[in-house]
Amino acid sequence: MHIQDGFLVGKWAVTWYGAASVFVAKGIYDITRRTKEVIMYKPLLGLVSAAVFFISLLPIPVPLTGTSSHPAGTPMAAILLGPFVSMVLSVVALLLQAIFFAHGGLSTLGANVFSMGVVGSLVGYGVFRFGRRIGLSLGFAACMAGILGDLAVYCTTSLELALGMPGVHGISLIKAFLTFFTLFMPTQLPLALVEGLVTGGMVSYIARVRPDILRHLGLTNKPETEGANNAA
Amino acid sequence: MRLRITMVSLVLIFSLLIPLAAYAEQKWEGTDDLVDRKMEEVSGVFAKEPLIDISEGNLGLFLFAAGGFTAGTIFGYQWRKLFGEKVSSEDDQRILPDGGCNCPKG
Repeated sequence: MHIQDGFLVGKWAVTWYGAASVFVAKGIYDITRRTKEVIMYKPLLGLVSAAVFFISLLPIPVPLTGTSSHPAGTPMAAILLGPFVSMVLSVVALLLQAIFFAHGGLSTLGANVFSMGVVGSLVGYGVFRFGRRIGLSLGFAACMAGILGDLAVYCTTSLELALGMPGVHGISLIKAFLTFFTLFMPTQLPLALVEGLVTGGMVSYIARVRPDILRHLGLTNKPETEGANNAA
Repeated sequence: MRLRITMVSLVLIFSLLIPLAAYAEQKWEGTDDLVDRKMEEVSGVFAKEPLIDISEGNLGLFLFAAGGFTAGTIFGYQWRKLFGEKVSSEDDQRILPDGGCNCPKG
């Protein structure tokens, strides 16, 4: 979701900028470190950057609702590159989209980065790691990460809109949150499934074709393509 | 397997229980636009003009085509680097920093 300029009061716009910048700084540090340590990190970074930019701009029609929306892409980026690096990619994608594509705005960039970049990445990565820990296959854990990461992004956006709504009195936070949440969910739930399938499919594909990449990224320990055939 | 089917079924059922498309004015309207309209309705505040007005003529079409082409080119180039190069002989095998070989299967 791209919150447009003017929809957040100043204090919340600044707050989200501040909150997101801490995570993004760690992401920049991680990129510097990991490009030196892992030989195929740069091409993977380029590939996933392009994917996040494209996925987060792509309006996918949902026949069930007759509306369209876009996935986030950051859960997949978080699994493949690390959650903090994924946040940096979201800054680049959202900045370009705000400047050239009338999607989002500069004053709301911090809020958009926090929801899509920070929350989408952390939830996606957390679900993936938890899924692996409880024994889910690589593909299915990534699929669940994609689904829940996507939904978490739109939950956070609803909260950001509810908190930062300008000039509103007499509407409770919960009511404002639900107003936006119920607008998002009918379209976003089917898209979250699509995002889950794409995320699971991508991770499974890499596990099958270049398992060494996942080993070097610390996603798998064993050389075999564990769970690749169980891709979602 | 059972867990997967249960999870997917739950999400599908949940999505179908929610009232669908109650707010869209046009077919395939973006949820971003729905939310913008709701925000304007509730708060009375309108979104500021974008930095570049892509609704003018074919400018939006041009920018989206150019953006898609650029992203696709970068994606395809890096994809080929990572997955597309076939190993035709032992000389072509990529050696990893730890001394291991990442030769593709087959």
